Amino acid sequence: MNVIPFDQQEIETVLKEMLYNKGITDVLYEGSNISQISSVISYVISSLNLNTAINLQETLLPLATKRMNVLLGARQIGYEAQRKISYRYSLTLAPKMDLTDYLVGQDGLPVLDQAGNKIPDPNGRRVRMIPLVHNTEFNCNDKSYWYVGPTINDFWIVSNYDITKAETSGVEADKNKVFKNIQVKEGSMFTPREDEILSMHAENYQDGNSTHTKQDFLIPYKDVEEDGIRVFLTYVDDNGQIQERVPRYKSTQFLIDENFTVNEDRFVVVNNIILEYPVIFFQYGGFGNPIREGTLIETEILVSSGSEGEATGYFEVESDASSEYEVKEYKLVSKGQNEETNQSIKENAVVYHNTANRAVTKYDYTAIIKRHQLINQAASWGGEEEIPKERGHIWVSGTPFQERVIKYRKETNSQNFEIKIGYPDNVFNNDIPTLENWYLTTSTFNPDGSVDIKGEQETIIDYLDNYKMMTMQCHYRHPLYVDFNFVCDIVKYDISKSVEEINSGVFEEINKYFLNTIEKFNSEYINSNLQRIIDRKLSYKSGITYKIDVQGVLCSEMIDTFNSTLDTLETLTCPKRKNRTVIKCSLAFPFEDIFKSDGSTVTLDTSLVPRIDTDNFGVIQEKLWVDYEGLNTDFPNQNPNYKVTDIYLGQRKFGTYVVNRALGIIELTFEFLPDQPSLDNVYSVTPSQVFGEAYVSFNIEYPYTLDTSTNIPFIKNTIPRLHNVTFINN
Amino acid sequence: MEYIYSDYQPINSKEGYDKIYDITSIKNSLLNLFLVQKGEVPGKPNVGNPLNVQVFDLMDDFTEVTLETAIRNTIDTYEPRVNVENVSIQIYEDLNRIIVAIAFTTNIDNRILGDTIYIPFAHNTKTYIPLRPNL
Repeated sequence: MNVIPFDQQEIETVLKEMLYNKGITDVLYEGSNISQISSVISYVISSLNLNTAINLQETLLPLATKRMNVLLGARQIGYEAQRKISYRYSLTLAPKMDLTDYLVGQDGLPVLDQAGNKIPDPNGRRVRMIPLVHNTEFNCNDKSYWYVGPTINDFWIVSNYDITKAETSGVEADKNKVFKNIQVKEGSMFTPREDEILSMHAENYQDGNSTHTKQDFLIPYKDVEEDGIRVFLTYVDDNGQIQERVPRYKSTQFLIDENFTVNEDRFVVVNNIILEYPVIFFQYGGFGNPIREGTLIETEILVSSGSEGEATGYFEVESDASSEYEVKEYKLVSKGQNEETNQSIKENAVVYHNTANRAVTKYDYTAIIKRHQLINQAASWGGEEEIPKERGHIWVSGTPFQERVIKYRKETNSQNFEIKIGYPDNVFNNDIPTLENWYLTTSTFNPDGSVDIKGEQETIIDYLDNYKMMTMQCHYRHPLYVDFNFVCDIVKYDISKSVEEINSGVFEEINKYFLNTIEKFNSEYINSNLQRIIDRKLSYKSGITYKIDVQGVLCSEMIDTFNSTLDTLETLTCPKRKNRTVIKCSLAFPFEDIFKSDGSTVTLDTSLVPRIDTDNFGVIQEKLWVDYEGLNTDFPNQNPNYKVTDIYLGQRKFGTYVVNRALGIIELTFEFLPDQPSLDNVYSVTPSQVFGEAYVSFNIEYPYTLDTSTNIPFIKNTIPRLHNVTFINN
Repeated sequence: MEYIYSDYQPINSKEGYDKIYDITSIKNSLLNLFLVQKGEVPGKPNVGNPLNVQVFDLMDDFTEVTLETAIRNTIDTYEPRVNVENVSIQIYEDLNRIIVAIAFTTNIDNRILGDTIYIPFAHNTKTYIPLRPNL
């Protein structure tokens, strides 16, 4: 659909073009009658547009619905929507060589002795140097993947002997010499060789009385990857020397970039909203190092398939290089994504604008992390909310984008809806739980200590480095998923509909409520809200009762090493020790529910604190329990804000349970036997006693949830999730 | 005959043609630049009569130079088809009146054509907006 442009000047340009094509050539000259008529017409259309837009509220970002208006609204407050992101894979390459160790003649054929036998090579090996070339293509089914790094001439210096040894003996040192990893990106590559339009010249233009060199260049391709534009400049420098194919890099931040004026070799990419093409600017708003007149600009463009660029099969080396090396194996580095959605832009633009491009408050951190393409939900909190307090530190947590699949099962007297996250379709039939896609990945390292695949966590922490104060230390903590399981009993079914239909309807309402309102960090589950939503769905003819079973999910990936650095009174319960191996999770509570005040003193009602007792916990199948009676004793330092007791697994101590009245937090610290235990270590549970291949869950029971007006708040890294809804049919 | 420039005829034209061509259209366009007041064309605040800055000013030695510069700048900017050959400015101080004559040439399809337009410009009179002369 063609949309009339919004701006008066754009309307006039279109109108004049139409009139010119009709043969009224004078439209180009401002004095002509037709030019003045077209000015008036475009003004009238523009004001009509504006009136319509205001009436439809399209000019306000939160109310805009048209993509163009959302993008324009976001740009007004300095936010640029993200373009497509390609799938990235790490490929393990191995050189192909003739594995002979006999003498080979000039013609490549073995040299034979008089008896016709091959003559052994006295040195036993032949050495070759194999390069890795910029823009090498790899194919997987019908998709292309590109190595976009620089050409490395001495990528391999190997002998046939090395290769044989690496493949047969499996010695690590030889494998490292032979098997090398590179990263590739999915997409279609366009270079000036294929399309001349990608090679441009910087020309001068006249603006009033002054002459300027063009600094903005339109790249007429849609779906260009977020980092998919490479720019090379050829120009004559101050000394009269020709500089050939000097790369310029994309600015890491939009508009304001501290590097922009220091390292003057950047460019900014801004999307042309109407054409949907990217435009590169070498100078934008007075920032940046302008290019000279006559500079040759060569661009290489990667057009991405976004979320549809997944590799399904084996990688093959394209081009001449296929005789040089092959792909041994591949690993996913990061998933591809489509353009940022309107909803996401509307949410992120406003909070990102409030950060003013720097991270100071915890809300700034959350807004900045959420803008990153890897992150779906994000949370952050300061070290002053930690127990013990760690000032000068900040913690962040995030969830990746997950596939949420609903599994439906019908039995004779019940109907079950289960939400699976991270379940590929092919393992649907068996119930092996998988942790894929629940947590952000950590870096993997090569045996020589270098980073193989940079993890998502490290990427986020590095990303924050651009924005935060340098003295603040940033840490990542995995989210604690809290699964909600509902068992519903519908009292009386409406006979005009089938039981399945009614059950599905109620499930849809619960699912929608969780997706839109609850499945976020720092949310609050309010039981009466859900009750009201379900009641409205069921109408007055029937009713429902339901029970909620809440479980926290732990996995071995959540284990963190923790060094308590401060010797404050809070550390009394967790003595200052190095290398503590812990899982920290935080539960929140509504203040009025568990603290009772008689006017002068405030007392903790230990019968109402959340219960985490779980039978048959972990691999060793012992009871996880808390000595709640311990909360009755005063804190050793007479600090009224803390009450501390121990968590046990069977008879062994397994961490601490701290009730912090000031922050409204119940902090659970599951502590394991460290690798290097100190003398005062009292914890003897090892991770292998708890974690097998799957996750383990512990019950979270809120004694005060007996009444329907219950609310359960979530804080810090705790994120609720709908897991299971069962309907009992009587 | 093929025309290089074409425009719709001006309102109230007596000639009865739908379109005007070449030198006529250029002359019309030139006149428009002096007949339209600045700010009158929507979205283009700079298009229009440059002589208005002189309204209510005293006539002095600089009047002629100022007007000529303004006229030449306007034509250079908005009517690149025209070469200004001469700008003659006759000042009648007693009548508070100025008459501007612009002699110009234009190149249409390698034919050099020339003409002159006259713009009467009156100070301190009720109708200081110049009257449209006959084309």
